[in-house]
Amino acid sequence: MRIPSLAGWIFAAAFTVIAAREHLARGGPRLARSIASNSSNNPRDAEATLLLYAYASRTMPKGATVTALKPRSRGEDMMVARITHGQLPYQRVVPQHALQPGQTPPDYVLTFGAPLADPRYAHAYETRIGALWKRMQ
Amino acid sequence: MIGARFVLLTLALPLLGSYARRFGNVRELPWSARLPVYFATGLFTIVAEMFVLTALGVQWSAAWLLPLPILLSLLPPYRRAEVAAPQKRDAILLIAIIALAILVSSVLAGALTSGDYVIFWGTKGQRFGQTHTLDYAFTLDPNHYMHPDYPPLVPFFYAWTMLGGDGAFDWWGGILSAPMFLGLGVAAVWGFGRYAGIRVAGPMAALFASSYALFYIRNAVAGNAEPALHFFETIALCALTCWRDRENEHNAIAAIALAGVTLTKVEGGVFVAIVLLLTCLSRSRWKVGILPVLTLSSWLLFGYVHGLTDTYVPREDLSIRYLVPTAREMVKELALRLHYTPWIAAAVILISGRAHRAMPYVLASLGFIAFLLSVYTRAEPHLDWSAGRTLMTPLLLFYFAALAAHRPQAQPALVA
Repeated sequence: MRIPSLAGWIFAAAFTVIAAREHLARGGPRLARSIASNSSNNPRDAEATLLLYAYASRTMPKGATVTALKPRSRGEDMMVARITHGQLPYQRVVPQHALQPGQTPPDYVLTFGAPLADPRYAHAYETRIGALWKRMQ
Repeated sequence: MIGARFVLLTLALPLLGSYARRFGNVRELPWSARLPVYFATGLFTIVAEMFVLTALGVQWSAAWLLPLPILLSLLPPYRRAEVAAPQKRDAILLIAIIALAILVSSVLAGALTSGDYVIFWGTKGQRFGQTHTLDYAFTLDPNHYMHPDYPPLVPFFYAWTMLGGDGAFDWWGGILSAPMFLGLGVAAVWGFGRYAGIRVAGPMAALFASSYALFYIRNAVAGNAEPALHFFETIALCALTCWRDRENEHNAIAAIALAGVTLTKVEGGVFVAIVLLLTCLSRSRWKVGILPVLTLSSWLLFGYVHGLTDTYVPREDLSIRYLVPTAREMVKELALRLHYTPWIAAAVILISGRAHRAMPYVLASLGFIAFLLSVYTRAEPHLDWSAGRTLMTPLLLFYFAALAAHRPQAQPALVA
């Protein structure tokens, strides 16, 4: 076997073995429940978040207005809004400031990490990671 | 899991790009090279149409997008060409197949999904697919600012896969496109290499597949623009490197692929500039630059008119005084957490060939590293955040240096 072929075999095989090892280290082959079930630094929360979004997307009426937020971490509003736009394709996502007095409140609110302290909304669904709230008035 | 619409509309792209058979010697390429060429041509054609329609203020639809590529694909080729000889199986490709299977398995395990995909690549694609246009008012919105200045090819690809649907993007399809792009790139390296009589085509294809599958796993790039970027870069470099009769025989394919590179990522423009400078300034190749330069200029002009130029403006904290510490960090990152072995592997293959032929590619690789260094040279460069992803492009150039070093002198027969 010529040197280039030998080098190709050895290095390609080595990289493939390392790839297999890293795949196994992350849990190995399986069909995940969500696209991020084993990604990020906190895969358990990532999966729970996406599954809650999936539930909300299925159950809220098409065209309903909705916003999402982390009540204890409002500095992440922009990041949460980006994800919400992607995960709720059938609803109309509005900015979190729509919850402020004087604004038109959305039909639904998704909260993560803490409950929503807003008397206009009633609890509709809850998981470990967060909850879906429906406007009552 | 992945839906039928995503699969069918993705499979339609090589059919819509099959008019590439009219270019040069494309019909003489083996199927393993023709399929990626058709896919690249189809994807670029659809994306270019979407971009032009956006610039004209017209919302795209199947009625707008399909006629041109279908018409072009139905036209007969300019001339009859030799039918490509069947290719001998290459045992080393088994490694490539295993590496790609590991990558697919990792994607299906939900282990490679990039945060950027969920935050903006996929979300932008979904929005563009819903509005049938590049909705820059949405991406510019300060409530959810989504890098409106990033080139649109990947979100446009995602939007294409939503055509005729209910407005929801197939998020599984998006992440599974990462192994698809890599698989097509690997097939191109093998097919083009065999066509050009390059005996190391098999080992280089296996090296490419195994190392990039590993990088994709480590850097969790599924759904991001990197896989598409590397795909277009690979097609361009295959077209420029793997010729048989004359060096300009795949000029049209190189031009289309380089144009695709410019619309995929910001650094794609630099890649194109370096490649054009080092490999396309000869009399027979200068025309390669026309389409990519036109495409990049159009995108920049569109961005300038609509205020989408953030990333193209140098950062304020760039400073020469950070050069040395950043260069030290860059040298560490070049090891790719593999003790420099990807570079060593390609270097071993390179020096066993005609090393002088590899020089333009080596210089291009060094040029791209110099560009990255200039971008990272600031107070807090954080190479550890992104260098693992950005260094895949200069490594690809170095892989092609090894391939070029083994291109035969004169017209060889197909490797039997």
